[in-house]
Amino acid sequence: MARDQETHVTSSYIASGQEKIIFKAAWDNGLPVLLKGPTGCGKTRLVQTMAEELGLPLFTVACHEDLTAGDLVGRFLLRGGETVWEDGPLTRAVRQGGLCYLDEIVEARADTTVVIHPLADHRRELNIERLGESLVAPPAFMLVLSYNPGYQSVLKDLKASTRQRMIAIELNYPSAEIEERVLMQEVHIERNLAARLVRLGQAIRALKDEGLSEGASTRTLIATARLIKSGVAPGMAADVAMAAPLTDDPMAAKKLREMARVYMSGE
Amino acid sequence: MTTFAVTDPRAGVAGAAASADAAEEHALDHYGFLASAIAGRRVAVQWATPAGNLAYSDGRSIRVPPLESPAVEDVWMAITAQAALIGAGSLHPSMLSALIGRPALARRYLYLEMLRAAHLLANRLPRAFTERPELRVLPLSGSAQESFEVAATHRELPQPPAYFGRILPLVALRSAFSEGGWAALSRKQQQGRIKTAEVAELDEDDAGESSALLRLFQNPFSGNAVSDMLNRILGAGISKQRREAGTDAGDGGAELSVGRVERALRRGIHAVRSTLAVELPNVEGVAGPAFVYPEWDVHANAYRRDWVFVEESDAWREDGPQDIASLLGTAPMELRRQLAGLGVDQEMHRRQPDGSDLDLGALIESAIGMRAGHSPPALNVYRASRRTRRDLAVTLVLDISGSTGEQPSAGDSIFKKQLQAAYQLGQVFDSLGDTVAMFGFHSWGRKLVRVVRVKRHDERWSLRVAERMALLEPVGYTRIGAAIRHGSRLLHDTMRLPHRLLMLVTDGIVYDQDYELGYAAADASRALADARAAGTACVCLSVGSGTDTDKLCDVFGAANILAVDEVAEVTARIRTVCRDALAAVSKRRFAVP
Repeated sequence: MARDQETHVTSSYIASGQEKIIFKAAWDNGLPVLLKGPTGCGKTRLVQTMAEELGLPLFTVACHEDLTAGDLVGRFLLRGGETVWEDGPLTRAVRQGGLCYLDEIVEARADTTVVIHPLADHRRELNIERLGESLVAPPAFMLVLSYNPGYQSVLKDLKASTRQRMIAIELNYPSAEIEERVLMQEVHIERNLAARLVRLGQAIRALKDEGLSEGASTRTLIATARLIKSGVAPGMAADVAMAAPLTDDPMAAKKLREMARVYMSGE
Repeated sequence: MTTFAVTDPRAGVAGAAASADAAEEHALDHYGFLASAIAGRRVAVQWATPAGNLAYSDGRSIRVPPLESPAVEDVWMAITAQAALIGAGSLHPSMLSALIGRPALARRYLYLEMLRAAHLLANRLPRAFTERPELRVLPLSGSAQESFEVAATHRELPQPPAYFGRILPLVALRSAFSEGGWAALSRKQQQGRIKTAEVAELDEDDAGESSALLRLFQNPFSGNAVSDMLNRILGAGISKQRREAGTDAGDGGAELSVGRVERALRRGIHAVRSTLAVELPNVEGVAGPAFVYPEWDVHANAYRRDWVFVEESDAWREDGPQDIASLLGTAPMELRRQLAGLGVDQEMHRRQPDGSDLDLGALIESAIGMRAGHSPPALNVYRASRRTRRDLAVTLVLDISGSTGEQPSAGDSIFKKQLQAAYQLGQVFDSLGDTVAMFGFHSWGRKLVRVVRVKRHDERWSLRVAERMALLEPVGYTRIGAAIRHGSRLLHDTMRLPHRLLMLVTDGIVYDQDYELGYAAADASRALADARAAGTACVCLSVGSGTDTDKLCDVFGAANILAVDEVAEVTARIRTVCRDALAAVSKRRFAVP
């Protein structure tokens, strides 16, 4: 981040399509946004970039199975003999007029996500039951949800009532050409190396029915490029940053390693 | 760099063994992902036998010749090239049939298709491959059809370099039978009348692959090429088997023929099924059936009431218990870990040290306590929602039909692998405190579906389970719908726990008298839908039955299938599959409006 400020790079997300324009238009109109896409395709990056561009504070909540409504809205805590109210991140974002980003929203239980409903429609208000308080969100407040429809699709799905309040932006791994640009911009590597990495990534993504939950993400490509830039041999870097994190199965790991070696050969 | 030992014919047996070792050592398995990624489907990589000098593919596997001193690069280049052909659709049966017996044409087609594939798949091919000078040429054709047309002209084309490998149309067609390869042969070819002019063009290479299949097509005396080919596939003994089965119905002879028919079915020749009589054992003398189930008739779009008769019996085989002790053993710890989290649910707990809400009762008590001068040991005054284990009932339904007992050329039969998987799963579920029942099933028509008890739900896990497993015998056919209904009924009516999991272990070959293909699939789907509607999660486990799981996927839904080659591979994905299936039914039951 510090580096970004020095060079005054405010926007580091390279759009594949219209996602930035739609995001901005949704913010202008007070509409919440749902970002869909596989892991490491740039959902969080897009939100960060947009928060910077719009000049808004960003409140991120990584959702998990045990996340309760209290974790989002706030709760009473016990201090000495007194109970003290503490705002949750959602309440803080509403009070300050910022961007509230609920990452991997499907991980949270359905009854938890219901608290965002009044915020996500025309009312734009947050009811804090326990305080008997109702906050109306300022125009700058925006709700952004993300989820990954790729895995656990049967187990976890967003309720229709939640989905239909959202502007859905579907993201995917960028095309080979854009992914090369992303790598060159993020890590400052030369085009030839970027092309090799991108092809390896695209090939791994083409593997179906091999027990890999997801393909190699743009994030892992960037990590690989960073390692190579620090002097790690390309084949090794691709192995440790792309192949090995994808699987624990020794045979699958060996096969991925072989792929990495072939695609990085001649470097 | 490694060198491959070429067997000297004079070296005899010792030399052959050494080369087998070497082959093992230089197995090509690790290229599996490379090939699959480029091909866009699952492809195996193997050494070619008998050795040629060029790599080829049958569309499902890539065969690489054992070169005398294969440079590593040569190997992966050859694999990449063949995988690219698969990925670009160059080996589609519709194209191949026109190339049979025309090697020169096939080579020209290969060249054109490789250019097209390299261009089409450029984004996921290794740069070191696409940067080859031969491939930095713009493709001359936009589709396989166009390549074929260009190849058939007199246009001058360069010779394809060695790493392009070659296209062997018959080899690829033979493996593609189940995918419509048979249909792709022209009618004339199906009838066995390939023009001699085409055959005359065969060079030595292609003569090697022509084998029985081509001869079959050419046989002028063959009245019916299909049945003739079947005879070859099934072996000459088939009619003898049938005679024996006729006199001694239900004995091993009939089963043996089932195995063979199943094997033929795997090769995709479905048409044969109806021509072979299903031999039924004598139904009379069997005690009245204990259970009667309906069956879904897809043609009438209605249930056939009281259609299938299921009897429960104890495991028994004439030749006494098998020695399967080495198979069973203890389940790996990892499997235990994977399954430990199933059937777990959120519950609100009171008097917790932290939580989302204050527990008023506890708070008041501790406030009173403090005012009265006590200092409580801990301030457990919160309410929290935690994941805690609930009751899970599991029924393992084991397919013990004749088709599972087939002995493959290497390794254990599907039957043994299934026993091992079921035993390990049952053992782990039981040790985790779940209620486990296990039974095997096979059938001889709708009037005799036999369910063989392996473990009753109210019985403790003991050595008796292994003893009964050793008495299971893979015979008979597979009436899968009845087995699903029986398992579902057991879970729902007898075990009566909130979380129910039906796990079907099968080789995926479903066949019984008047029970095949679409009808069987529709009945099984229906049985599963009924079970799910009643809140029972259903998953299917297929161990070692190859990759022909498409049909199972149609019936179970791809998410509920776990198809693996070896029992050890079950561990990695079992949790996801079971959890998704359980969540899917519990969501339906507890859906928040």
